[in-house]
Amino acid sequence: MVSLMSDQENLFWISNRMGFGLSPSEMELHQDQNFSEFVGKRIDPEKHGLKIPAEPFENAEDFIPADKDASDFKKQERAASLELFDLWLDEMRDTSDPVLEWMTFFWHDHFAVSAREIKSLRAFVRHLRLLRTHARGSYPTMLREVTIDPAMLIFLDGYKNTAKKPNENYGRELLELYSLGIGNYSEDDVMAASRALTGWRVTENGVEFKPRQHDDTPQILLGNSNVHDLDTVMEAVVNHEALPGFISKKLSDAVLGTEIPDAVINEFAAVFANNDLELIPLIEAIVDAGLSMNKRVPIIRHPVSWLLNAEKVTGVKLDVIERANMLSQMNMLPGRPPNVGGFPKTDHYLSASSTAARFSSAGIIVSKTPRESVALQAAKSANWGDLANICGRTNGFNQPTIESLQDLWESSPSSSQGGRVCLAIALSSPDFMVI
Amino acid sequence: MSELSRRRFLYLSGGAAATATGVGVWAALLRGESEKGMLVPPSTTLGMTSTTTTTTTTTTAPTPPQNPVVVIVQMDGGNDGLNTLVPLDGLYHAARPTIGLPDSNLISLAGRTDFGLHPALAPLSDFWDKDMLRIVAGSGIPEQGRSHFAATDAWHSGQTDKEETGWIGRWLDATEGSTPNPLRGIALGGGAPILNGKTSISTVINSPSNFRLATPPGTDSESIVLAFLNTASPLASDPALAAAQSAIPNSLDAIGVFDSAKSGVDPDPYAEESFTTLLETAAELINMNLDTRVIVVSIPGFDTHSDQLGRHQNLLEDFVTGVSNFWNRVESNGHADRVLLMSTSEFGRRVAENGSSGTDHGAASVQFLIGSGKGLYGDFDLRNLVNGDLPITVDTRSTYATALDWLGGPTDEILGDSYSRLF
Repeated sequence: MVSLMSDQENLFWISNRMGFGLSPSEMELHQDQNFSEFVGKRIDPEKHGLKIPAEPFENAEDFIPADKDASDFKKQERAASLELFDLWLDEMRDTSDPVLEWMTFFWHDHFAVSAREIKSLRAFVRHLRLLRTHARGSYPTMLREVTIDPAMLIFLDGYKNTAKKPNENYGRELLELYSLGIGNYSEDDVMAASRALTGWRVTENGVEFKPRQHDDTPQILLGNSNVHDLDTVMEAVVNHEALPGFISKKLSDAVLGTEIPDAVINEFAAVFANNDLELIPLIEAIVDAGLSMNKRVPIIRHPVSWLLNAEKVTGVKLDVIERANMLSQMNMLPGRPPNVGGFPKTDHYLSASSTAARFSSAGIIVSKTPRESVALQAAKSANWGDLANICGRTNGFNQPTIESLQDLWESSPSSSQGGRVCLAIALSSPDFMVI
Repeated sequence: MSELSRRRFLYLSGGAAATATGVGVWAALLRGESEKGMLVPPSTTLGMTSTTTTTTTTTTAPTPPQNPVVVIVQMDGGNDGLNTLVPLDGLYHAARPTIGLPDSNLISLAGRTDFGLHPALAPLSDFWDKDMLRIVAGSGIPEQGRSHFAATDAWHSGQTDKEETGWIGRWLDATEGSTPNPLRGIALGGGAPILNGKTSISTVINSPSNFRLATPPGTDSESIVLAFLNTASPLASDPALAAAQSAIPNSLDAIGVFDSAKSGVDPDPYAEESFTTLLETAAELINMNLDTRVIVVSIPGFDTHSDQLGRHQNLLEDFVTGVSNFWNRVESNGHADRVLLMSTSEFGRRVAENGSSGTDHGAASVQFLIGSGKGLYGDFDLRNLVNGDLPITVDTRSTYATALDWLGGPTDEILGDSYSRLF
């Protein structure tokens, strides 16, 4: 890896693109390390002997209501879902392994199972655990597990898919969204995959395969004959030449932006294919390409990334409802992608209402920011260079932002109030919305 | 002073507001800078190519009304046209043994013996009787496919090849005045790629009831809002940063309009804005005379792969309740003559039901146009299915052409071809 950027710039780059930003103390902790060693540890901590943090939903079963017949079950489950998503956001913000949490969230967007649609928080937690377990493991393993995951079976009607009455909902999205993309399969393939995946049922504690509801007739799927069950479907799908490119492009778009030339995507795809569709080599290739670019193209961040970075920058602790309100108003609630395609493209979050919600959220954040916050100190003393640095803008804020901050600070009745409102402007500024 | 600037004036009682004298001033201010900053490179082409393959007779458009408005209702997920407008031809029940609607429950349309409406749509027969409802059966875009995303792209762009702009966005581009007004095109309840233009800016409001600016207690709101605005110009050369900048005046302009200072209300983060509420907001916007020309409202949930009967019933009830309520308001405010409401959906569903008492993605669907005249166009031809799908009998772009004529065109330029008009 040869990078023309400073180590500090690179540190922010990887922390923002495959994580949720850096807090001032994390910045201090990491900045004196050898950068390439740091990147290696970030992407593959296990290889470097680091421990993977425990999963954040360890005790979720304790607060997920079990008694479906209870009169206030819905209310209980709503409260539990808020708590669950809050725990998840805490982990994304505080984890020592940001790449793992970022990848888990990436897969949540990719498979796009909605907790609201499946109406089972228990199944949703199990789904998140699955995504986290395989987040940077083997894609074929994850895809196989997801195919027979209770949450997915409910979400895309797989549990209703039987020999007598095939349902193509999952079969279609398996090919279109999870493996190959449009143009690489036919309507016959959709039906073949759906028939071969008949017979899976959701039970109290998991799934079971019901041979009597399964259509074992050999199907032709993507040119492979004798496809008749889960294993043979997976074999046909993961060996298809379009899969490495499709998944590589999706991950590359999220990390590097959508302007990467096809030739570069093809290189990522080759790495992915040559490593048995293991994700770590793919992540390494994408990060390496990003760090080697001599000119970086900024991308717009989504509200979860914005909020968690704002929390890191200020050290604020928000309560469950405040967070949910902010994310809801910015139009991105974890656990609730709007449709099977996942969360919208990030420019959607520049809508009039998301922009207003960002501004209002920044106001709440600064009013709860602790006095000792270094970001607040920098704002109080009108030190815009330091504040920009804390916000991850190593080359400083954009000129209009600096002038706006200075004007606001000068017109404020006290440096203490000026500091808070200027911090709000810094957080809601266009600068902090791009990474 | 226009309503927009009056409200903004109230909001920003300081010096900034005193200079705000027209609609979209902040956006205009930014546009002045954009020549330097190149947020939106001036475009001379609208992505049009001249093709003749599907050309149909050009008709002269009727004279459009003064200040016309088109409201587009997007039934997201793929509405099942066949259970919305039911053909009374005997083949229907064979294809739909479980989820077929009994003939006796259907709502009849005066003068038509070939179709009946879903029972939830009873209020639509009033529109029919008053010569205010046009129905398009078998609407679709050829080659759109069964993927939500490919079909949605085609419906949004009005093109089957990859086209980034939406058909309304291209109309906004072609007709924007010298003072750009981001409120000419508004989407309520979610993003609307249909509004994407190359040069024009439109406004997306996810949730009108939560749409407001809050500032920390004990601080001077005006100066903070002004500081936020000032971060937006001049525009940076980097496109992502410039896009984040230009979102700010757009948002503030729209807030000035919505003026939803519902202080003290702590909205339920998991509450959904109802379709009826969104359309009420649309009726309000029309009443405010902000030069709003197109409003897009989404109603989600039509992807009924399973247990369709009850779900579809609820969806259509929501649809018709919202639309009727909207129309009452538009009428009592005296705007009915200039409003055309049109429903769309990315595709219909398969003719045969699936095994889960639902339907999978299909092709042709149904569209409703409310506000001008009566008619039933196209057909649901169950005798000539194409791969188990209803054949497309009306190119959806004919309905777009009709709506664009309503707006005053230039219709054929925007659609890249001349499609026959419904009226």
